[in-house]
This record gives sequence, structure tokens and C-alpha cells, in this order.
Amino acid sequence: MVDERAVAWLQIDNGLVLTGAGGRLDRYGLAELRRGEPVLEQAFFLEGLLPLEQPRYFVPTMELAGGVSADLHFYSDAGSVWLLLLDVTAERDATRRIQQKAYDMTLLQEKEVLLNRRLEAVNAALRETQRELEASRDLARRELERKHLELAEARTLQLALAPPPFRGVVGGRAVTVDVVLEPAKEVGGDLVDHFLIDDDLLVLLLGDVSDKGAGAALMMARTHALFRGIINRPDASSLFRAPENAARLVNRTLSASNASCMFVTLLIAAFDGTANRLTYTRAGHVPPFLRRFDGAVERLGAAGGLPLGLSEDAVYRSASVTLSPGDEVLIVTDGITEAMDPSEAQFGEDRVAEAMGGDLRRLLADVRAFEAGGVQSDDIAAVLLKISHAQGRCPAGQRPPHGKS
Amino acid sequence: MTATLQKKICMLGAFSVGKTSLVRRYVSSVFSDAYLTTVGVKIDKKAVDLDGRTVNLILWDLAGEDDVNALRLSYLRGAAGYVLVADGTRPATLDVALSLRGRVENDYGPLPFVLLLNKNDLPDQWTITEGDMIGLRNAGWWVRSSSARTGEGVEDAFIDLASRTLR
Repeated sequence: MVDERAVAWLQIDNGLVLTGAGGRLDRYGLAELRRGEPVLEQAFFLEGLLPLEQPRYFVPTMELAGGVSADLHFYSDAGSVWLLLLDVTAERDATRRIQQKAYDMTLLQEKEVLLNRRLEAVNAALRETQRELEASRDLARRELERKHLELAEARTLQLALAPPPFRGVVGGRAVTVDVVLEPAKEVGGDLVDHFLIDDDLLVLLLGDVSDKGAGAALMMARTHALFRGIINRPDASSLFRAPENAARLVNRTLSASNASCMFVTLLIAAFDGTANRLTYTRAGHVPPFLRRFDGAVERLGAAGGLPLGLSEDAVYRSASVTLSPGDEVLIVTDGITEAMDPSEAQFGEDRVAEAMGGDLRRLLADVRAFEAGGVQSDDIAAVLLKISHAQGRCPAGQRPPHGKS
Repeated sequence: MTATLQKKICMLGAFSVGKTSLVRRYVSSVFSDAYLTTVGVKIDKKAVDLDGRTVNLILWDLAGEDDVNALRLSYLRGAAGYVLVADGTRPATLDVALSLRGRVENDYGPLPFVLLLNKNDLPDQWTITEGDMIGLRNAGWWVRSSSARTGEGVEDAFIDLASRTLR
């Protein structure tokens, strides 16, 4: 038993000088102790423990040099302190093995608790985020529904700006006018209009705003309103008979307050039924198609000036062409000429020319067939003027639309 | 009397907060990821130079406190100061440190001490808030975050504590 415990002992006097030592001192790294010298310099683990304040004192399981653990038993006796060291390394190791497992388990449990807390926090945050997203989604859905309603109303109003077909007499010449207007979105930037001035002058308008959507629709409506406003002027007749003047007036107004920098390509044409003459101003627009009564197709490509809205100082010119009975004039926007098939090839001007001789429904059907179910990429608008062979008399109920209100 | 000044410094805290690792980092400049629990007390010595004077710090690395094994306050007999250690990734260990400090003060009076919030090399698991630390500092505590792995804050803590034990 004594040997298993590797007993060692130290005797220390009241002056903390080592006066004696024996037993298995080497076991505790104390083989080199010097008697007669201060003990704390040689056994630093005694720092703070001496001098002894009570007759007996016990320090359990102190790990010393070499990993050896000892129980320290202090006894006070007749002016000396006796210190007995007993090896408890084996007990310490046994305790450590048990304690280690217990601590490892406890640490795992603590980590599990922390992890669960974090997961709960993450879950709570996710639930909150989901609630916020659902609220945002509901709000966005309501907002979208409201905008759809507004846009549907806007579309109805915009389509109402397109005039109905006209079958009637202009300056003694029987003519027909058909129009089509189909925005790519709910509302669009194409404008189409026609009206009579002085019973002998039929004005055709077709425009294309440089953008699509609501902004373009407002620009379109503004342009439309400006032209319609000119009709009531005393000089309306002269302004539309020389359509470059009407274009100049509207361009000046559009350019003066055009923060969005949108512009409008425009074709304005005035047909004088008495003289059988069509005078047109082409402001950056697709040249109209003229199909003669014999089937020959010409383009009315005379340059008339910049699109409206770009420059207040823009200059506009007009050109004239004489029309004969059986002639047709077709004005389109690039939503027709640039309609695309699935391979992104364009419908093109040749196909427009080939479709002439029929009506606008046929042209539109050709465009739809060419798109082969694809999405309409641009607003579509067209005006088709046909000069009848018959000299006109206006039958009851078919009075032409007059511009003056 | 000893010719060289010696100061007994005790390491206190909950189990597995890094007390032994802090001592090893400070005394031997090493760190090991392996966790080996301390039983009883482990003694180390570190000689430091303070204002031109060599002071032996006798470091008593005490077994951590847990739910079953309370700290034997008798180990602190003759201590000149102590290092309270908490694990910054385990908030409950700060509560243990605060409790230990109260019990030590009850038995031994106001000894110099420092509080180390250890394992600051694990920022993604850190749970002690800056507000907690500010609150303790405002109460007059010397508080630092530390890492036995990187050595951050370790030497400063021991030197500061040793200096205060000399005053």
C-alpha cells in the first residue's frame, strides 16, 4: 500500500526552510531538494499554502511535474510543518475517464440546445419573412388588379379615339376609309384618325410614338388632341390643305415640353376630292403604299421632315400625287412591316404590298399568320383609303364625318 | 522568505471553457484542439518581468465547475489573484463565472481578477453581446475576449493581473 501510494514527505520549519525530506521524492520531481534552504523556491506549488493556518490541511489531487497527481496532507507539529504526498494518479485517471464522458455528453446536449434555439430563431424569422412576403404579394396582387382595371379602361378610351370606317363622298368623289388599331400592350403609342374639312378635303393621320405602354399612350393622346384642336381654328382649311403647316404647329407644341424625349413618326395626308390630289407630309414615318387601279404599287417616299417632338425648329415639307378611281393608299406603322415570325424574320414591306387589293382584315390576317402564334411585339395601326370608280352622291345616312365640331 | 517574488494565480470557470488551454498558450505557446478534462488542480509556473523585476506566477488550473462538482474554494487559499474564464459561445458559462466571482469574494475578499470571454476565434457561434461586455466594464471589471487558439488577449490578461497583484 505504501509503495503503491509512493509516499514522500517534507519537513518545513516556521521560517519556511526545508529541514527534512524523504520517501519517493523522485516520483514528484522533488529529488533535488536542498535541505536548509527556503522550500518555496524548490517546491513552488506550495506558494500560498504556507505558513499553515490550522493544524491540518488537505489539498486533493494536485498534478505536479511529469503528470503525476498527489494528495497533499499538511500537519503542524512542534514548530514544524509536515507535508505528506500520496500518489493518486490512478484515481485521477479513473475520475478523468468518467468525467470526460460526462462532459462530452453535456457539451453535446448544450450544443443541441443551442442548435435548436438557433433553428427556432431561424424558423421564426422565416415565418415572419413568409408573412411579410404574403402580405406584399397580396398588396402587389391588389395593386396589379387595380392597374389592370385602369389599363383596361385606358385601352377602351384609347381604342375609342380610332374613328369608325368611312364610306362617303369627298368633293364629289366616292371614297372609303378603313382603319385598324391594335396596341401590343393594354395601351399603345400608335394613333390613327381621319376627318373631313370643308366637305372636299379628307385628312388622314397615322402616327407611331417612339415607345410602348402607358407613357406612349399619353403621348399619342396628346398628339391626337393637338391635331383635333387645329380643326376648330379659322385657318384649319389652309393648315390641312398644306399639311406641313399642321405638322409644324403640332411639332412646335410637342417639342416645347417634351421632358420624356419621346417622339412621334407621323404621316399626315390630305385628299382633295375635287382635284383628286393627295398631299402628304411624311415626318420620319414608313412611306405609304399606293396601289394604282392597274395593280402597280408605288411608294410615297418623299421626305417631309423629322419626327414630331424632336426639335421646335424642325422644317416640314409636303409632296402631292394625283389619284385615280380604283387607286388605294395604305398607311401603316412599323408594327406591321416589322412583325416577326418565330425565326425573327420580318413581315417586310413586300408582303404589305402583296396584301393590297383586299381589305385591312386580310392584311391583319396575313400578319397574324406570319407571326404563327407569336407574341405581338409592337403596336399595329393602319389606314386604307380607296378611291371609288363611281362619282359620288352622298346617300341619306352616309354623310361623311366632318372635322368641325 | 523567497528571493524571487512568487504569486499564486488561480484559473476559475465552468468546465470546457478553455482554462487549461489558456495556461498552455501562455506558458508553452501551444494549443491543442483535443479536450482533456482537468481533475483536481494542475500546477504550472511562468516567470514574467514586471518593471524590471522577475515575478514567478504560480498558475493553479482548477477543475471546471459543473452541476455535480462545485469548486473547492480551499484551492484559492493564498491566491494573489484569479482569472475568471467564460466561453463566449456558451452563454451559461458567463453565469457560472459571475457566480464564482461572488463566492470567491465572500470567502477571500476583493482579490484582483480578470474576466476572459474565451474562444473568440469562433465568431459565428459567439453569443456574448457587446452590450454584456460594456455592462461588466461599467461595473469596474477588467473584461476581454480571448482565444487560446490564436493567443489573442491571453498575455495581456495575465500581465495585467500580475501587475495588479503587486500594487
